[in-house]
Amino acid sequence: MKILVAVKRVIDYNVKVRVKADLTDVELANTKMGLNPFCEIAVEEAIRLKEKGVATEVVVVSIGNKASQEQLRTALALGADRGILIETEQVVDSLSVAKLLQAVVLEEKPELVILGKQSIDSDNGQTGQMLAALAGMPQATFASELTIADGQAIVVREVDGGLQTLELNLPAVVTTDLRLNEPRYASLPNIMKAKRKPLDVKTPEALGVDLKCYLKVIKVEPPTERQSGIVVESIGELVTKLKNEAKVIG
Amino acid sequence: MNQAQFPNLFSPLTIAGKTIRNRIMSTGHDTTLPDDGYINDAYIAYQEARALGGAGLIVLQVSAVHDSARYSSHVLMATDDGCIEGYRKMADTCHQHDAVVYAQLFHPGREIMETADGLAPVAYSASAIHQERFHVMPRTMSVDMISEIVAGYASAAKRMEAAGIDGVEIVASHGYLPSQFLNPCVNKRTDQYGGCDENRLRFLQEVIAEVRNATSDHFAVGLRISSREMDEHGLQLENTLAACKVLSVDLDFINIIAGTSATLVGAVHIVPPMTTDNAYLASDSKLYKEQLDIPVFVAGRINQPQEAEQVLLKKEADIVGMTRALICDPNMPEKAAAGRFDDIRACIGCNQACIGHFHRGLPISCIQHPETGRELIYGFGGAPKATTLKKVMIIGGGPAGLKAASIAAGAGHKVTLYEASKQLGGQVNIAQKVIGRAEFGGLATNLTRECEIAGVDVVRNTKVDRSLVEREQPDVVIIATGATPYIPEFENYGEMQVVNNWQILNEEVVPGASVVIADWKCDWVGMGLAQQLAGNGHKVRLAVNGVCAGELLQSYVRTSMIATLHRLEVEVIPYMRLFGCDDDTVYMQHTASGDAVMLEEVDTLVLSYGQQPTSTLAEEISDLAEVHTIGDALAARTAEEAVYDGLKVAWNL
Repeated sequence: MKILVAVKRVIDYNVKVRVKADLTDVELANTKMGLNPFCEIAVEEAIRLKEKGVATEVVVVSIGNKASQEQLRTALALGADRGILIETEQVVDSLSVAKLLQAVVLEEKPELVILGKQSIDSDNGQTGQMLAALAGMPQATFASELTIADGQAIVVREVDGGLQTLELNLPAVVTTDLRLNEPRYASLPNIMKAKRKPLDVKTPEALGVDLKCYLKVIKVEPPTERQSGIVVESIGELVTKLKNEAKVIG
Repeated sequence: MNQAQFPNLFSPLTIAGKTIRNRIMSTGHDTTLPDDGYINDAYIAYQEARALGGAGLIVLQVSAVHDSARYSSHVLMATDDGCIEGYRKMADTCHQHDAVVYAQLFHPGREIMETADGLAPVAYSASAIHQERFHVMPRTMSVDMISEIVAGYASAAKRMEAAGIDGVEIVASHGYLPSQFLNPCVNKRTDQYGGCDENRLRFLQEVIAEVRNATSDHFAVGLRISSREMDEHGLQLENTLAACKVLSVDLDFINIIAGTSATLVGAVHIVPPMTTDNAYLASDSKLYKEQLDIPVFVAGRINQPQEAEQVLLKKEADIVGMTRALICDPNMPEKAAAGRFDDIRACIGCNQACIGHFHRGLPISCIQHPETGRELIYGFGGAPKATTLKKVMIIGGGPAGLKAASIAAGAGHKVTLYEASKQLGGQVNIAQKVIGRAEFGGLATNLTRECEIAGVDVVRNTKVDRSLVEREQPDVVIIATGATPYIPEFENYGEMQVVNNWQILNEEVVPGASVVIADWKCDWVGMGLAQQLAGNGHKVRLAVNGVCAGELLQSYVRTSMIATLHRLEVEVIPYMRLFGCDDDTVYMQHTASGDAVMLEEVDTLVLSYGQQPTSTLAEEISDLAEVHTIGDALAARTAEEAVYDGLKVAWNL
């Protein structure tokens, strides 16, 4: 079974994000970049399936500028077999990403596509769902457990009321939640080996995908700083302040 | 004695009524031989070697004038009368060999390097200004404390005179307390001891006046000062010259040196390494001599009598400090006087066992002459004549073999030294090819000469095997066959050029444009190669398996090499363990975090991993004779251990 895993280059999760002075975007210059943590979980899950003998090949795909090769190499060092970079300098929204991934799905014909449930930069949480729709595959989002058996994926999902278990016919799309697994660290030998694994570079044009963007970022602002609190003398004073000053109760 | 070659060097000079027989001085330097604050037999024997060898003036290591002046765990204390007996024995010993002896009166102020109990010191200075090199934050001295310290100088001087010492040198050099008062960057006082040049000079004027009051006219009182402290925050030439013009009216001499203990770059000049020009401070002392009416002394990489004579001839100084020259060869004055120039064991400025030992809290020695600092064991002149003469085969003509041969032959044994190549010197011949280390070759020259003097038979181009030992039938075989580069195991997946340090030094390979040096050893070889390659236009990354480049080097040598690498834009990457390489990337592991570090776009990986012995001869011939293995053939270390091994084994035959 071939597994396709989509990965994204984002600001490293340890870095405190700063907004650019002109409020057009977050600052990316000289900022440490890394693999989106949910994507890392997706890679880990695919590798575990390969280690169990369920999967035969793990292909990782990323969309972005040339530097995204670093994240593909990280995924290869973790254990993926080969990488595909769809190289573009353009800003791509979730739908464009889903279309590009759909084009790769058509070429690669994976039996399972695993994605992170969202990326920690744009936080949309849409790509997996859109891909499933475009590809006409069943989907299971927010997976906290994944088992493959008898041509089916059994997925435990984290939902508001508890855990939901789904059975999906393959090929299917699964997006990962935080508790699906704990990703490993890349070992030095595997980092060295990763460099010798194949990495194809494609373009959106070659895949025949138009990157028309339906979203426009108007402004990026840092959250307002939390104001310091006050100590009230009595419950009565608290209620009065909540009513008249905070206006949170009627 | 034939002194015609050096008319100036061997002309006497009288200071405060005491005649110094020649112009050769051993300056004040720490030896770490005294261990309880008092002069001991080991230190007396050490200075006796210099007096016996012909030095005219011996200045003793610093003597603390106040309890707050303990700047190292081994400092001599001159703060109570209990010290007098030691100084008296020292004076008597030096006088017995016709040397004049001065003591140094010392207070470090904030320059406290270490304490006996390892606890951070309470340091005092003119003002509370942070000290950079030892990370000391001093307290500001009260006026009462200043008076107490001034009195301490006077009472220490009085004790010295009572002990028969010929004079004192007030240590205002190297950023120590008097310099801290002089220096507007360190003295921020607004009382009578600071604020203007006149006030900043007051401390030293009081010290000199009180020392004068406490001693007689026949007791020399001089000042040691750095003509320049070689740091932006240190004293500059115009400051020190102006101060000395005022002070000199009450002094018998000024002793010129350079640098400051306070900063890395300034401290290099405390004991300038081999890359420093010979007699580099003579132009400064000349300026002093022209403007002052008292004798001026100078030191600073003057390691041969020829250089010293030139300094005197050009009237650049009246007395020449040749401290390391005397550490390396205490008999240098006597040999120079006798015209035996080739017999002088010249100092190579390696700093390894003199100041290097001091910084490690170890007794002073010399890599070329391990007898130095060990006079109580090895005496003053060669091994005693052996009662049973033996036939000794020494295999290997590197530092260990040469030293063993000269000592054994000196004791009367019949010694033949076999060298596999055509040239004596062993690894010294490779080490001297490192840029800036050419002088290291002097080690081989000197040891070879010692073998000639001792009457060693040398057989070159001969690799010794069992059959040769069988034919020769020696009583003793000393194996000193050295070592070859150690190549560690690492992953190598690609076509990158991988070479070792010797291959580059021997010009056996041509490295590519972009070079990574994997430097496990952290000595001067990796740094020297980095300098050489960067100087030849290569892009160089020096990845060291240590916390800094040159971790094992004496700090002044390290500072000076790091400065050079910085100017050449060599990228030094600390905490790097080599893991592997492929076609164009070197893979390292950070030794603190364990994380992978990839060094990309690399053409050549240079391994600097030291050496490893390879010979199996000792086992093969163990039934034929008494066999000893020494130097790198025993365990790959440095030239210091090799020469010392040679001395120990040959001495005890």
